[in-house]
Amino acid sequence: MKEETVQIFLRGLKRAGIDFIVTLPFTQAARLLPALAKEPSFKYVQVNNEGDGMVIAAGAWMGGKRPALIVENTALCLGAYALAGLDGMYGGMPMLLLVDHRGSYGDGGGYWYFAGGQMAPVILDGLKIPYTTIDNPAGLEEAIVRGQATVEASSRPAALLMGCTDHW
Amino acid sequence: MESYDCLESLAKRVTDELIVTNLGSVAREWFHIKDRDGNLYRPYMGHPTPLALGLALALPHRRVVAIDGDGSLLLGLSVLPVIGAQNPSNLIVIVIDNETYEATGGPASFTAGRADLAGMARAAGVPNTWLVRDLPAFDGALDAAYRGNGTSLIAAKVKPSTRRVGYAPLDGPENKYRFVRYVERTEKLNILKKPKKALPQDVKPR
Repeated sequence: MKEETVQIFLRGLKRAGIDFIVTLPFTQAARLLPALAKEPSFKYVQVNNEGDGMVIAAGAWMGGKRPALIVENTALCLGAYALAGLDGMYGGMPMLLLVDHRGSYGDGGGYWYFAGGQMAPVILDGLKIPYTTIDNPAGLEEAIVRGQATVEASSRPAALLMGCTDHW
Repeated sequence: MESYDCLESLAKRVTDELIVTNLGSVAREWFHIKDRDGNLYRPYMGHPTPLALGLALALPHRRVVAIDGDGSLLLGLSVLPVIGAQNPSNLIVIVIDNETYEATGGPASFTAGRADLAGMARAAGVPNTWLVRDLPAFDGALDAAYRGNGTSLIAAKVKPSTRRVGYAPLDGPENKYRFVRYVERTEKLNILKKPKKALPQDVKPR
């Protein structure tokens, strides 16, 4: 990820009012995550399992934070139980899911990405989580802001699928 | 010692803590002993402790207590190193360890064998851990946890519950909103935000 894209991320998250970041490190975020970790306007929490991260984010929202998860698409496979549980028991908990959509159309990176890539929209559709897809960083800042507006209006999760991130 | 005894002991200390309970008998018993707006009942299995961790990190000045169970924490062990790394002093995790999946009729969990949740927490970096088998030891651990520096986890070995109390007569969404409104009131926060955009009927004179 280019430094310019890292800065777009930071601007988008700040404009959206995000103040609680949950992540599990993944390849494309190698430059992004250290920048987020040292940014004082975010509480930064690294997890071992994104499902835990979604539940931690739910608790943070109940404590007054605006949480976002920055994860790879396999997080949706691991986190489907967490998202379904939070939705089924409590009617959903607001959080923005910023998902590296490896294994989507245009990704020439490797066959191993495509299982998670193909599952990601299926899981979001199944959980009735609104989402959109972008495949370059030009619209990223605005998409993050609009995503958080969706989260706050619906009081449930919303997701941004970010494709072709190996070119970002 | 039964779970009810531990919960009665906790209830004597509770003032404005935010408390997240496991599902099953613990949720029913805590509702029966001390229902209050600061209680969040019955997240799914594996969720009470990470949910309480999120609360504790968001509100570092506020005491947060997770009342979890052995089966539930065993499902979500991956949260323990996160707690160890973050180590919020305002978080107490009580594991009601009955060594069974009691709600299903009592098949044994792995804590009936060689698995030790307090030991796992300690190895994951949680600084204050206790494995207790009777009420005086539980009381002592709870006293120490309330005074503790860093996160505390108490694994309380209990017998299966003999008391039978009813389900809490509030569903999950109602419980969520009651809990969040309580956090808003007591923390002077605006969490449940109103829509930002005014509708035409809000701005045009009638």
